[in-house]
Amino acid sequence: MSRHGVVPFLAACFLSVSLSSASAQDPRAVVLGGLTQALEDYHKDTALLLESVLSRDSTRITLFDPELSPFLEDLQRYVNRTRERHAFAREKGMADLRVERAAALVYAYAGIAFGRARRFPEGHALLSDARALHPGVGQEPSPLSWAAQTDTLGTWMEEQTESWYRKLGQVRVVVSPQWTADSLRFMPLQVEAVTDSSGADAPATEAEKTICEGVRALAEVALRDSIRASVPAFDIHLPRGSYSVRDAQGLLVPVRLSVGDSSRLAIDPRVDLWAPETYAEADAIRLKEVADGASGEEIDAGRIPFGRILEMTVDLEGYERRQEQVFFYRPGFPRLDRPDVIAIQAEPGRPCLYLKEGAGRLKKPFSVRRYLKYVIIPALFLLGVQ
Amino acid sequence: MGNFPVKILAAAVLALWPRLVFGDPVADEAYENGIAAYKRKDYRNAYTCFRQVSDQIKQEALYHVWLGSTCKMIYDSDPKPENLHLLLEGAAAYKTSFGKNSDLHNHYNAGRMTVLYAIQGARNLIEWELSPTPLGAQLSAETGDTLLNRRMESALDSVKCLLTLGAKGLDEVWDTILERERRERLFVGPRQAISDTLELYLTFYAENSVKLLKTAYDVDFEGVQADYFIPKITAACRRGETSSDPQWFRDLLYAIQFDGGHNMRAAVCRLIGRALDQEEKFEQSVAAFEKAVRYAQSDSSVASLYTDLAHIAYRVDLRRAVAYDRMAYHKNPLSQVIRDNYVGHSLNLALACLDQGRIDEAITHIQAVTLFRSNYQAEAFARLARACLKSPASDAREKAVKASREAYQLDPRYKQEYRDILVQMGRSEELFLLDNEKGQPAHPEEGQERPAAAPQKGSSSVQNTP
Repeated sequence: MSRHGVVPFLAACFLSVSLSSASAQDPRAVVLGGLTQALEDYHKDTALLLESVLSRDSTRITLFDPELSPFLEDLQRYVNRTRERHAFAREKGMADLRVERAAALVYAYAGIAFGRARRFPEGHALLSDARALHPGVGQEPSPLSWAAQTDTLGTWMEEQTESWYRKLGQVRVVVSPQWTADSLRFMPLQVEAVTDSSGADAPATEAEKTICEGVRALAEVALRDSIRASVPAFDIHLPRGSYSVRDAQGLLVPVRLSVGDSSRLAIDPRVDLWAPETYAEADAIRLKEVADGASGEEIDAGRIPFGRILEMTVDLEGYERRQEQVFFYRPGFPRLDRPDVIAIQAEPGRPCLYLKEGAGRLKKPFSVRRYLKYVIIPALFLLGVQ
Repeated sequence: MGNFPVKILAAAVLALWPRLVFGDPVADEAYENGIAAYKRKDYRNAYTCFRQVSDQIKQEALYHVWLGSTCKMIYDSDPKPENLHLLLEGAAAYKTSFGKNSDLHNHYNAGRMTVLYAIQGARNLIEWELSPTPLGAQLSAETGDTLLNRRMESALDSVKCLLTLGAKGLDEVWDTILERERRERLFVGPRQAISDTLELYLTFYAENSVKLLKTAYDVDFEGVQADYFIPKITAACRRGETSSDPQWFRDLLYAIQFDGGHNMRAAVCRLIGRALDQEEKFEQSVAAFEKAVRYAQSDSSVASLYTDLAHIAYRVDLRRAVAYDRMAYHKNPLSQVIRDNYVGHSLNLALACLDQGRIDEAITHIQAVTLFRSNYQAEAFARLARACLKSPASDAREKAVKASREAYQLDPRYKQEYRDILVQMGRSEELFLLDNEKGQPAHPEEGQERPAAAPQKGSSSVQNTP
């Protein structure tokens, strides 16, 4: 064979050998091998991320910690990728033990990291996914370089996420779409711990207190964001105890709720709206919002909220025309004590009294002794804690 | 008259129908001309042509690849600040292309050009607005500091935004890496070595992550979360260990894992300090290392940084070098290297002081390093003895004998020196005992060499000390 003929011959031999070895490989095995290796790489990558997250000083972690955010975002991306790969493997019937273990470890690492960032419900959900895939995930060795050899992943799962998750209660909030759209969308709501919360596990240390604050702030954000997005029903998680929900002025939503062990509470603010009516048809009561000291838009009948300062104009068939600032509140909820504002206690579905004493009282045939009676009948039911 | 609008419409349709049916020949020609201009490396002209193509051509993914590549080439051939926006335009073009054909390389290029734009843009801003002599300095003299401060604040915000953009670009590159890895494995199966393309992506990611952080160094790492890059670069380097140049990845990994592997700020400051030191920018290098000291968390890391500082300062300011050594020793007194450095530098400083006749100062420097064990402790005692002999103080001679004895006890090679001092001081009893010691040669010439002096690095003069 000539010199020029040898090279193509050898190349052809090499090619045929390569092709035969490639065709000898089972394509299913190739895919499974690649998939397993990809998931194991994700597992190693997330272990590095987890180690970095856990190396941060836990007492300095704040809610939406800008230092932790990139880690969590990245972990979430890995979780999403892992879910895709795992779903593919299941679909093709290739989800063997190695695949499930690697996926479970990714979820577990992400769950621990989310717990570290005070996002216990998300962390718990990831850990549940991990356990469902690989029940022995807690017995896996810890991936942390500084951990003892006997240290298991379960220790970290418990310490960072699960123990705190168990201290939380779940509150289902059901929001009327109309109410949400008109009343609360732009209101910054606050969830406040009520001091007289009996039976609550009071935070023992400063670190625990910080974590509780973080969880509560997270619930506030979830509440606000969900209302803004007009989500009709959603869950928030809070440490056990009693809370009230208020707006920035501390008035709008005087809801008190208690978060217990296993109870599933629902705030159902179907209506926070009242309709004023008068006995005499010719009489008129108009209510306007007060915004920044000036009267705002007129409130329609059936949309009068509790816990807000309103400007009430009473027009009595031309006898008298008065303007007052009023504040409706429910029994048991805070009343506003201001000399220029009349606080009116009211119950949903029952008439309430507009009381005016002294020389400046209204003169009206319907007045009974010292007070003039107006009936303000709630058109719908007020919100309540179920 | 009633038919007039209809006639106009008909005329317009007749005029435009070839374009509607056969496309716009001018615009199509522009595309062809653009490709031709690109091939003859006339990128500016190519860019102009590509901007004139028809909407129909703009629907093609390949057009955006041409446009993106042209933008990059224009910037590379003429990297002026006014051309910087082309990088962003190129990134957008590649992104559009990726959206159309899902070619991963386009995704990589989109991320890559975003990162390059962010880094270069941030560097320009830092250079122009935030450097010690910003362009607005003259302005401030006329209109007051408020305007300047506002301008600098605005520049700082812009730098932060750019750095955040760069981090996002790097995330895109990382996504490309993972996807590329997955696709390779899906078709080829598990493999030991990574492909050249993947190696290119990984190298870009690791290198530019560090570059981004080096840029962020000037604004105290505002806008980026520096520590986030430790696990990311580690993951990239781990993959890179099966590449054709694993050593590059290993070196990078070693560099970023300074201070326990959880403190990227300190690691980056150290890298910058070393680079500046190689460029012989003394003050800037020291500033970078001192910043690293502020960020470092463990005592051993701080000590290591002080040792580096001492080595830098040694060339220009021996006294400062000894001060850094002292701080390093206080932070990590157990490290033999740190002790030896401290002793070595102190002895050199003492020697320089003795040359200049500042005996007391020399004694102080030497005494400080005789208090702990080191490889040069015997030499330190010997030098202390010599310095004391020159001192006019009343108890100096007694100290010299004592120091000389210590040196001898630590290292028998200093026997002759001890003996000389005893002879000089007329201590006949001690001399007798020394000469009749069992197991020791009477004179060092018989079996021992003269001990080596402490290492002398660079100049031992203190002429250039402040």
